[in-house]
Amino acid sequence: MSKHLIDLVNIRKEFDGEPILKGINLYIRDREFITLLGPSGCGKTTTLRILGGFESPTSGEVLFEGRRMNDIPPYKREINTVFQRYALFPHLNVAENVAFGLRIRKLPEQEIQTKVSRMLELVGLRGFEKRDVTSLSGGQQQRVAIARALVMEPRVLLLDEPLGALDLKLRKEMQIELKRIQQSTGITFIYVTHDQEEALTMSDTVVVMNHGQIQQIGTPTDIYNEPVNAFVADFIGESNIIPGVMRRDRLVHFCGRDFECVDEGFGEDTPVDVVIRPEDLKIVETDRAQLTGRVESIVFKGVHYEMMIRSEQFTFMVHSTLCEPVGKTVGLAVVPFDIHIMQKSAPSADRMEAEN
Amino acid sequence: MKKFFQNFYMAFIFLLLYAPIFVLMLFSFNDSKSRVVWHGFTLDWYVKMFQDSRILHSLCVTILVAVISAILATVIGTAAAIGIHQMRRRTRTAYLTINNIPMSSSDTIMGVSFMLLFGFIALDKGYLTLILAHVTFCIPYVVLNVMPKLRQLDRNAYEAALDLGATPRQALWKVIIPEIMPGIVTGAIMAFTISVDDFVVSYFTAGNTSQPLSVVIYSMVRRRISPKINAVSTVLFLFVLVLLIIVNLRQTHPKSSRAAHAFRANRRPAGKIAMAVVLCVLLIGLPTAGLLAAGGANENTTVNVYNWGEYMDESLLAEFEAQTGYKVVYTTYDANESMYARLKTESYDVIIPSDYMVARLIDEDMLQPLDYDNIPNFDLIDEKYTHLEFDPDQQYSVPYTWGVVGIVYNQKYIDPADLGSWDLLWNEKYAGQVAMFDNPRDALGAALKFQGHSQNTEDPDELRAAAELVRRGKETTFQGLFMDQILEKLPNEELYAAPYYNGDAVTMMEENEDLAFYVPEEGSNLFVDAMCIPKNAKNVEGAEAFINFMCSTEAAAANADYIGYSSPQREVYEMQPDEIKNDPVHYPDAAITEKCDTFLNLSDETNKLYTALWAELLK
Repeated sequence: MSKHLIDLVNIRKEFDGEPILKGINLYIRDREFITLLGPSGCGKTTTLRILGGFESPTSGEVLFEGRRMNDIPPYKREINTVFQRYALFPHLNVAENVAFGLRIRKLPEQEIQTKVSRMLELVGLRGFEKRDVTSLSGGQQQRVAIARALVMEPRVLLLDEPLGALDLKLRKEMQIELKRIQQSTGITFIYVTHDQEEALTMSDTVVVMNHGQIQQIGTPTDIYNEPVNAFVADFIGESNIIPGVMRRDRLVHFCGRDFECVDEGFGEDTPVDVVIRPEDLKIVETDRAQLTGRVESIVFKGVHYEMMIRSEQFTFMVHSTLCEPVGKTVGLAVVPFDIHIMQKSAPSADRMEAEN
Repeated sequence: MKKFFQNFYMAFIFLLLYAPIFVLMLFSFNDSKSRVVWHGFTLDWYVKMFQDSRILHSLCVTILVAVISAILATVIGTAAAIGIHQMRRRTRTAYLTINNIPMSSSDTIMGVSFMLLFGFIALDKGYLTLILAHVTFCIPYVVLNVMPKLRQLDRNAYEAALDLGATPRQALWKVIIPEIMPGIVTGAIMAFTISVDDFVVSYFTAGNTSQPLSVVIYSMVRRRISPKINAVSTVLFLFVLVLLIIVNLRQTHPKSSRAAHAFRANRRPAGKIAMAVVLCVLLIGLPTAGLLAAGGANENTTVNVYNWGEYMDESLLAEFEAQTGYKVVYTTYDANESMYARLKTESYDVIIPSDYMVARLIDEDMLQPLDYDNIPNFDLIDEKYTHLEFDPDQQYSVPYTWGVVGIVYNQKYIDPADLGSWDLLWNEKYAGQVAMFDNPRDALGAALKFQGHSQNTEDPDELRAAAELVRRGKETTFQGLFMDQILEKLPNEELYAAPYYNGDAVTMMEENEDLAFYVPEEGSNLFVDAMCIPKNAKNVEGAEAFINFMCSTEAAAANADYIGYSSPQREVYEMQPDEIKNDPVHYPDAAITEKCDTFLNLSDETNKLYTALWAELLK
């Protein structure tokens, strides 16, 4: 990865005295695909709008290649946006929508035509030039919106939940398409979504946000495997989050017994959150089990079954290819490597909201 | 069966709604002045309409004012709508409510308040005041038409434009305006039609040279309506109808939200039509604007004449202008009282009030004494019509027309033995077939004469007795109290006899040959309309020249011929054939006219008594 393209330095934003962003520090590298991920109301869209120039921060600095750009209006930034509901211009046809920015720049007609048709080619809309934008499907409108922004050859493309209105299959296709476009154009993508799967699929870097604060920045693998707190763990895929106590390094107590683990440095007898992924819990014979519980429910999920297994202290979610009948008592085992220990830092309200 | 009734009901409702308009249209093609009898098809009234310079002028005023008001209101209203749209929800609702109030409040209140406001800031009535008023009441309609389009706009559309490099100004012109264009065009057409339709506000805010068509038509409705007005109204109705159809097509057309395309790609017919209409209107309007602006009035060369509607052969105006070099600004009113009210705020050089109003104006010191040296033709006025009670010294007025109230009756139904007296109207033989005037002064006047009193009595007992007599007639013999309906009911033979003015009696007798006229032997009302110069006249010399011209034999004869009322001019009488001279409907017997009264201005107490007695009687 290369140098910093954009730096956000201690960005705060208030609406009517209500803090929305509480000190965002973030750098974005050139050619990076970075995703702001979080539940609605977490401040991700506000951050994007500050980058686009549609809002200005209450305090803090937005730097572009090291130069402050807080007060530069949107039309003077080398940044373009794909809006949530596309914001196409219905009075213009497909080609004219794409040509809009170029015409504002007063490029020669010939050049406009070339660029527009090349861009429509790129997003797979060749032959749609004269169509009314309102006659297009959601996915096609989305492509027009992307083409309209990309034809400006921006340094950075902002995408605000661009796939939110599409159905699942189309969304998957467009995810791949977007990634392809990003790689072929080399433009920095800053992507906003509340869909963790989308974030993990497409991004180089994921920024998990909640309550106007950044929770964790990392690669998709880091975020998934090493969530820094219970909120991230829960938001990135489903998790069993069990209150526990760290006895000492590499030994944690929860559900009435001690487990070996790999984490160190929490001190002795410290309350912690213990996170275990549903797929990391194995169903075993009761005599070899670390924990036992009764199967409460079972749902077929395609690749696996999702079972809720109730032990004395906690109801675990378990993903398994085995199918156990409801009411049966089963044993559970987990290897030390799959037990993730987290500081009890995040307020419990976070979890509540994430569950909603 | 149910469906049949549904359709029948619909047809019935539409018939009710449109019957008046159809009658109006039909009679605009009637080859007669009659409002009742069909005499054959003609386009004469349309030809006459286009020859009538006042109608054409006022039509130009209407269109010009409508175009300018619509354009200004559209610009202001669109800007306002965009501003209101940006507001927070609560403020926005408040502003929209404020915006809607002028639409739901009464036109009369709007008109009067404009008049007061313009008076307060000392703005002379004219194009400026008219346009200001029209712009004001048109703006809410534009706002109302533009708002929904703004709400349909993607909330990020403006930001998307900025994002693509457009400055805020470019974003407005290249995105917002084109997107809401269908609403703007609909709003503009609405504003235009509302401005064309307006009468009330214009009535209070138009100056003498800037009266729109609606105001001119209203003032033309005097004792007789010229079918020219039917023709004008038909044209106006169709014009507005076409515009409204366009508006409705735009609103109901399923793709109307994208009609703005038409402005770019010329693809949508509705947009094309709207564009064409706007262009046409501009093409008509703008040259007219130049024309009207060029014809600005100069006080020393202009004579401001204020007359009853349809009460002068207007070709005489051009003749006067040619003879003297003065320019005439001719405006009309529908009642002495409206003239009186307007005279308080406007300046006129010549007015033509009726007898009692002349007396009132003299009492209130609103008239100038005339200098007869400058009106030599005054000598041609028959002495019979001078020095009457309302202007005993003949200092302030020159008689213009005169007439007498008599009874029009149908010879087929009325026994000749019953003729001669007011008694006919109370004759039980004709119960339900006679009528009485529907205004206090004329109705009580008839009763007073019948009872042998003066029509100008201030004795409360005499007045009460007269009212009692009218009430008795109302309960026994009168079919009803009527004014204009008499003009139709008598020729249609729905009435056998009714009192009316002799000038209109002539017209009714032309329509139905069985009708005849007599002036009751007890005496009746002799009315004189006279030319006067108000105190606030700006061009007295021109006014004197105008009055002198109207007293000349040629002008008086042509005028008498046109309006149907008898001229007080001696030579005009001499010119008439004997059959007219001896016809009581044109020139009643002097023995009877001597018993007639002209109305005088009554005291306030007597006026109040009249009002009270009349209200009592109508119960």
